[in-house]
Amino acid sequence: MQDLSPIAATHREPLLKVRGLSTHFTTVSGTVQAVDGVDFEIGHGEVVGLVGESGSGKTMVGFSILGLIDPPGRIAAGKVVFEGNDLVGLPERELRGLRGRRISMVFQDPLTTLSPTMRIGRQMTNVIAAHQAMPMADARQHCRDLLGKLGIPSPDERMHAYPHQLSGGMRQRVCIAMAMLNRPSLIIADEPTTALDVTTQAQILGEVRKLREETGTSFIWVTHDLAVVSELADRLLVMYAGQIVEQGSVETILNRPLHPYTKGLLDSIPTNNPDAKRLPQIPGSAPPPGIGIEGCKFRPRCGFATDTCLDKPDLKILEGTRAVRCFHPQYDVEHPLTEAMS
Amino acid sequence: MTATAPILEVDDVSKNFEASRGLLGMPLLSRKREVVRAVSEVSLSLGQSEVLALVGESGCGKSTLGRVIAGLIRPTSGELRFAGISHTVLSAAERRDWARNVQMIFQNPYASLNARQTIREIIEEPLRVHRIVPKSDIAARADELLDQVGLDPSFGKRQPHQLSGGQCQRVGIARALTVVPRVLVCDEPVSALDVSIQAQVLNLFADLREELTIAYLFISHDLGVVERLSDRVAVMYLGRIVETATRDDLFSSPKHPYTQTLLDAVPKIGRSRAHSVKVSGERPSPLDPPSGCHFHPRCPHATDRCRVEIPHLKAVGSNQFAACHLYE
Repeated sequence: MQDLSPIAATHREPLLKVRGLSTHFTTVSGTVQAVDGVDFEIGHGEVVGLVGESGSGKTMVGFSILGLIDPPGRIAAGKVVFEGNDLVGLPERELRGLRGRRISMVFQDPLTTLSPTMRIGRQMTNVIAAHQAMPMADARQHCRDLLGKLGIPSPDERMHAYPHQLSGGMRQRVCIAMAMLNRPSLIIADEPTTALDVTTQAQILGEVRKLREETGTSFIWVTHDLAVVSELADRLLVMYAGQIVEQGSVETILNRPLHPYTKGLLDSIPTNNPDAKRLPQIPGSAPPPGIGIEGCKFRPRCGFATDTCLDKPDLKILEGTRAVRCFHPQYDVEHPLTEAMS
Repeated sequence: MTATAPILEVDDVSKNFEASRGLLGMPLLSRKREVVRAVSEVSLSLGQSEVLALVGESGCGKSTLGRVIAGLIRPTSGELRFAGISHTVLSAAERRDWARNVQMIFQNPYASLNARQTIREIIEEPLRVHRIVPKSDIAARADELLDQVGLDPSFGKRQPHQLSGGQCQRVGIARALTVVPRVLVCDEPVSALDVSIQAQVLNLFADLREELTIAYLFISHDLGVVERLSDRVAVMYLGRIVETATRDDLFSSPKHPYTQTLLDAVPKIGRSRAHSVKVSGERPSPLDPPSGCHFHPRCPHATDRCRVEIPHLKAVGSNQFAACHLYE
């Protein structure tokens, strides 16, 4: 696969560099910091899982990267450097040229992504026509190929179908195909399999894995489901209350979570503790966006909190890509470093 | 599993819906009036204090079956028995009796509470309607119930919109417990909740089971949750039960090819990222289910017989039953 990226020469630079990103919403009752100083990088061809519970700001990170924040929301601070250019403050016209071509997005609900009044084939070729001049026959052929690769049976017929004639799984496959049409270097997928049945989800995850090996596309896979990303991603970013609280490779985070929140999240997954009489649970619930919490935002729910935690913890880099935002990271002495995950 | 007589029996229950030709629901555009067999000749029994999980993918009829059992909709045919007493067609008074014994918890914790009532009103209403306690004790009993589900009685003054999803679900549970039911039908009670909140509510279900003599029919698509909570599992596919087994048997040696597929498809932490997917094809429309065994178009073992003959549940182990021609 040839690299179509215009900055293929500068491969050592990450594809996407987000620095100090803060997205605020102004409401009657004050400013809501939906995203509060988020830093991360996405490498070329890397799949990064952005994990968090509802209200953690994970979706807003994706929207902020694409400049999809509408008033009363705004990007209050930070940089989104994609292929060498800062996207924050870029005029809408230039962002439009980027969206769907260099960065695309897949949303949770395919029915709101697809137009109900247009056949699949036309919607798909429109995506190509918006960004490049391609003869119609070639464009349709390209769409058919991609639908086929995503496991859609008889793609020729499906090109003539309307969205309502497809099942939920098929619609989401169409949306993923549309996101890939112009060979973007980054796809932001926001809970794309959450609304689907497990068997359909398993199929789609398998197809996405194959396609990404073929195309080398980078993914930000936004989800609340740690099990899903563990089967797909290279690296994880764990978000809580608008901040990244922990990041690292999938293996290290799942085997040795350091942040009490990550640890609690993993422990409360039923299959992780089949024998415990009660599931270990995180007390309380996530603060609603807009509620200011002094110091560490997880402090009110944390069993390890001390007075130190009244200060704001930084995202401390430990080694390589491993980082944690905590004064009391939970180094586990009982479970030695587990390399065996492969 | 309990050795005593079952508290609730479902005998050969079917529920059909007639598909109307509305604008929405497009498969319904055809000219014929079509019948969806949402639940097809299902028989189940629930022991006292047993947790029976009903699993399956969306559209398999598990919620419909749950609503039939909870007495919210009438079965097209078949019989329900509570403590041995048959309830085929429920009159209004019988319906009220049924509700005292069988209560339901819904998936959407907000939509299942009246947004205009306070939490206290929500919980006191069934206490009054069913005359569970003397009038003078209603307030005290409501406080007790809130406490039982882990909510401070001060929540009584609030309205549902002031509560989080997990708290609303606790209110839904408290409301179901007002009548001291013997059976709780829980329809995906934690799937709308975040993982950390889900654990809290699952623990609450486990605690209540220890404190009260109560059986659960736990409807879920989440096999992780099911493995944790249930004693026995029934697997549904397109309106039919295809396998029932004790939890351990089902998870360690699933017999029906669909059960095997389903277990394989569940994403697992720590599984190799190269894990290949075995399941093929799509779930057919319930409006036009395949002939014979409904699973045959997706089944790797399907034979000609599977295409024509409906398999019935047969013992494939000491407490395991599968509806599959492979096991004959």
